[in-house]
Formats: sequence, structure tokens, C-alpha cells
Amino acid sequence: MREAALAQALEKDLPESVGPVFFRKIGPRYLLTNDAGSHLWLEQDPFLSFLRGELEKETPLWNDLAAGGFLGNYMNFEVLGGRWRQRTKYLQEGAGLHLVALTRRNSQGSPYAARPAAGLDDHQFDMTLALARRLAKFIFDSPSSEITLELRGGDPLLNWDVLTFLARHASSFAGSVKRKLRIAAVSPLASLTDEQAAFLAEFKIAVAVPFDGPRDLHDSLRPDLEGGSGWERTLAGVARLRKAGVEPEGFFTVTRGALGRAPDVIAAYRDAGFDAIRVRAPWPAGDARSRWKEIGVGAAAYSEFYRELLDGVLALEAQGIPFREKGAASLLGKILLGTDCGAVEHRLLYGGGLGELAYDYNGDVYPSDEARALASADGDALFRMGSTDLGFANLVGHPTVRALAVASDLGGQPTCSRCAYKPYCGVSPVYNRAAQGSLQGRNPTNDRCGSYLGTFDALFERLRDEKTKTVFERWARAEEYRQGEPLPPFLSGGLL
Amino acid sequence: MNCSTDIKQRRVTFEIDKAIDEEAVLAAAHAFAGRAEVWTTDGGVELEAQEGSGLDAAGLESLAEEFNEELVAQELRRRIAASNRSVREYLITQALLAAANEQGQHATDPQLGNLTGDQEDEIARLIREAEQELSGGDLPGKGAAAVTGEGGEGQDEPLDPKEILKAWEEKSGA
Repeated sequence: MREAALAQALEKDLPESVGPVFFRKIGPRYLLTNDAGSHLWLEQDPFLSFLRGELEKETPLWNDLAAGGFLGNYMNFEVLGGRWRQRTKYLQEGAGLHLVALTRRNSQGSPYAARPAAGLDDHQFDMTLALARRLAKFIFDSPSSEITLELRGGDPLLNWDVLTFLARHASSFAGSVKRKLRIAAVSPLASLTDEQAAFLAEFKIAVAVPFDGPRDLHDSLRPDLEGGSGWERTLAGVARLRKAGVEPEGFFTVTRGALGRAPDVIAAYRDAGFDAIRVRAPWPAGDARSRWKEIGVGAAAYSEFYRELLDGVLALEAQGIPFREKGAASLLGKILLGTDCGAVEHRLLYGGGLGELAYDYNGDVYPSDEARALASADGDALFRMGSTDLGFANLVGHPTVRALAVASDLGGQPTCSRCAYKPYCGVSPVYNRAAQGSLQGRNPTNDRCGSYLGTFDALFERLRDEKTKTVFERWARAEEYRQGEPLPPFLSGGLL
Repeated sequence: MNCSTDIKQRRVTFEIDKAIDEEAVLAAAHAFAGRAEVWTTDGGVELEAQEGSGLDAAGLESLAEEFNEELVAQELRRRIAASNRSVREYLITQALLAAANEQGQHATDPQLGNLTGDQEDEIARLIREAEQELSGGDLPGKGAAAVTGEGGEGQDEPLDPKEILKAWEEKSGA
């Protein structure tokens, strides 16, 4: 049996020059990262020399290691601490992202549709105006100076009166108390009218649409419940919205039917006029759980699809056709710009309750929208915290929020604590609950963890190419979240 | 390094480097969850590949090699983490204090924002501990307690220098 490549480094104690570094072998090389977010590639021999304290000083490699904060005896605490602080600004902020499910009704099916299913005329699953009024007051009583209000469902457009009330009320209130506000909505747009499109434009409401690309794929996952084509109606809504001056973004959930079809997906997105896509992995929840063999995708298959899609998108860029993967762009902001991308699921501690609160149509409050959606799709209300009557402080300090924070602490997760992607990643205890039955989860067999490992591997491997790096830097800047602005919408994890 | 295989039982056994700590063995076994069950033996490990893996002798040997690579990587990670624990804690404590300082509107001490006397004492103690450890060299396993969002021992109220828990009216005086 051959010796392990790095075994020689165990022959003596680590030298002082080996600083707080995480490493991962990708192909023949080692990727080094640290808490400050620096990264550096080393070939095997130089890495071994680094571990044995045998690197020559003042060489370009030594200088790179020192600049990145990898050399234990040459660390600039002020600079590195400043970088860490910049990357984790969210630790100093409260919950500024509020996701409100206006109804369970939806004209399109979904792998995560609510149970019991709400009929299209079943208004018992709509949020009432009285509740929306109380909710608006609660949200604006929260301490954040910047507020993002993201309206979800079902299809939030189906509860139009409440949507317009919240948008008008929030805009007016934000203006009077000088707080920054961003409003967004996630909808299949199947029932969008010209008047509604004009309203969304007037109130600058950002819109995202779950869109599965090729017609057969979309219609099989999100059938139109009135017997037509969900794909056709969604694209009609997208066109209507564009006519009103609002450019929506598309969410793509990777399911089994998409495997091997990344070029078709990109083509469908381009044909629909999108210049970007946001790729998401599926959750084993709701219908998707019972149909997992039919539509589920594990980490290995997801990663392969993701690499294929990323290369397809980069091929377009190489031809001068701008197109980006928005999920990658968010992660690249953390890698290349050293900033927080605003995604509450990619934090040192899960952002549910700490950065985000979610409200169901009936006023139930959850730490995050994925927790709310899990309750809706699976009937698993473990994360339900109560109602807004509990008050803001009691909700953000709720035992559920504390349990989520403890379970997701990257320093307490056996594999995460020493993972090379720790500076950029995060754990979702809600996913763990759905997929593995515990908040802590077990990362080596966790598809979310495996999918992110695959995603980060793909991004870092491609970052070695200078031309690709230039493209990635442009993507990262396009999605950059600037401190002092409301959190960007559509970054909350969850089931769409 | 030698290993012995038992194809029928899907098992491969081999000795491990004495320099590898038990914690690294546990970490490597955790990383192999879903692929093999790992049993420690006197001076070595026995891997039992997942049922249905269909590994022949070469496959089992390859699994052992891969596990051995993982052991070495985990041992290095353990050593790096242990020898740098106080450095990391010092770095993060300083960063958190600087952040509190940036935001501390009512600070009496520019280093310690809007904190109670007990809270200031606790943070000052943590900083002193971290600095003492750094000045005396890294002492694995003796790092300062990490600063979390919680108050110190015996305190009921959580630290809230940014007033995250306060309602808007209270915070703004509206």
C-alpha cells in the first residue's frame, strides 16, 4: 500500500510558520483558505515544504502566503481581523429580511406544494387584511434600519389586495421613518395582468419566477392546475412584466429530468429573454420527498450538472454573450470581494431568526422561509415559534432560534470546522431536519453539503484560469451586496 | 504499509501511523460515513465497506489507501487547529471588539461599546487571556474562551451592543 502524500509532514511537530489554515486537495493541488477569506493554490511539494517549515523566505510563494495570512509568525492581526469583520458584518445586524407568505393558493403545481392543497378559490388559505396590517406594524417595529420585504406563497399575486396593501403601507411607512426598504415577490406570474404588472413596476417590486427551462421539464414539475401549460402561462407573464419595465429573474431547481440537459436549460433561459439563471438543488420535502426516485438529485449528480451548466454559461461569455449564474455570483462575492453576499444560509451561524423571519398566511412566525415552507409542504411545524404577539425580542431570542444557531455553528460541525470552504459556506439545520431528521445533520452523507462542495470545487477550479477569473469578478460585482442597503431578495434558502 | 483484505466480509485491515491522534481517526471515520464502517483495532483500523459496494481485493486496498490519506489530512488539520487556536480566537475577539467600537455610540471606553461594567470586565478578561497566550507562544488546548453573543458566566441578559433585540421606537427614541 502506498504512503499518504503528506505523511512526511507528520514526522515532526508543525512549525510556527504554519498559521490557521484550512486545506483541501482538488486534483493534484491543494487549496488553502483561512477565516479572513484568503485563498491560495499550492502544488503538493510546496505545500509539504510549507507544512515542514522549509519554505525559503522572501520568495514569491512565501510573499503570497504572508499576504494571505497563512504564515503563523507573519500575521497582520489588524488587517486580517478587518477582513474577517468585513465578511461577517451580519453578526452586528438584526433580522432585516422578512418573508411573508400571502396565500397557499397557486395556479401551478410544485414539488413543494402546500398540504393540504389549497384550491384556486379556497380563500381560507389567504392572509387577511387585518393580519397584514398587524404584520406591517410588527415588521416596522423591528430594529433594522434596512428592511427587505419578500412576498411569497403559493402565488402571492393571487392575494392581490393584501399584496398591494403591504406594498403601499410599507413604502409609505419606510418613507416617513426614513428606513431603507426593498420589496420583492416570488411568483409563477401565471395570472399576471397588465394592471398588476404596472403596480409592480410603480412600487419597484423585484420579481423572481420559478422557471424550469425546457417546456416538458417545467410542465412536468409545475403543471398548470387549470389544464393549460404552466410553461406558456409563465412566459406570458414574464413578457407582460417586461412590457411594464420589470425584469424578473429565474430560479432553476435541478431535478432528475434536467440531468444531461444543461445546454437545453441555458437555451430555454436565453430564448425566454433571461440574461442570468439562479440554480438551486432540490429538497427532499413535500411531493419531492415522495417522488424522490423520480425527481430527486443527489450531490454527485447535482455537481456534475452544475459543472456542465457553468461551462455552458462560460462558453457564452467567451463568445461575448453576457449570461451569469447568480448563485455562483453570490458565492464569488465572498471569495473574490471579501464581502458578505447577504445570503442568510451562508453564514457562520444559520441566519434563520438572526437575519430573517418568515410569516405564514395565518400569522404563524418561523425563523426562515424554508422552515415555513417545510411546515407547509410536510406538515412538520417543529420550527413554528408562535405569532407576532410574542414580540420581536422574544422571537429573535426564541429557543428555536438558539437551537438553530447552535446546530449550525460551523465551528461545532465536525466536518465544517476544518473545511476549506468554511469561510464561504453555511449550514441549514432546516434542510438537515428535512433530509436527515436532525438539526445537526451528518455532512458526509448530506446532499446539501455535497452539492456545495461540488459547487465550490467547480468555482475554485475555474478561478485558476485568468480569463474566467475576470468573468467571475464581473459576476461578483454585479451581485455585490453593499452594507447599509436592505438585504438582497431571493437569497434566502428554501423550497421553490 | 501492509493491509489484509477479506473480500467475503468486505473488510480491509491495516496499521496506522503512531503519530496519528485518536481525534483524527474519528474525524476520518466521520468523513467516510456512508462508504464504510470503521473499527479501531490495536494499532490499526478495520474498514468494512458498505454492503453492495462489490469491492474486490484491489478495491478494498484502494479504499484503505484513501482512508489513510484522509487520516493524514485529518491529523494535519487537527494539529493546525490546535496550534493556532489562540491565534484564531485572538483575531476574532479583536475583530468583534473593533466592530463594537465602530458602533458604540455610548462608549465610555473606546474599545468597549455600549456594555455593562460586568460585560466590559468579561471581555477585558478574554482579551488579557488571549494576549497572555500569544505572548507566551501558542498553547494548544489552553485557548481563551470564545466571545459569543451571550453574556458571561452568571449573567442572565445577553450582550446586545447593537441593540438588535430592541424595538425601533426604543432604539430611535421615537
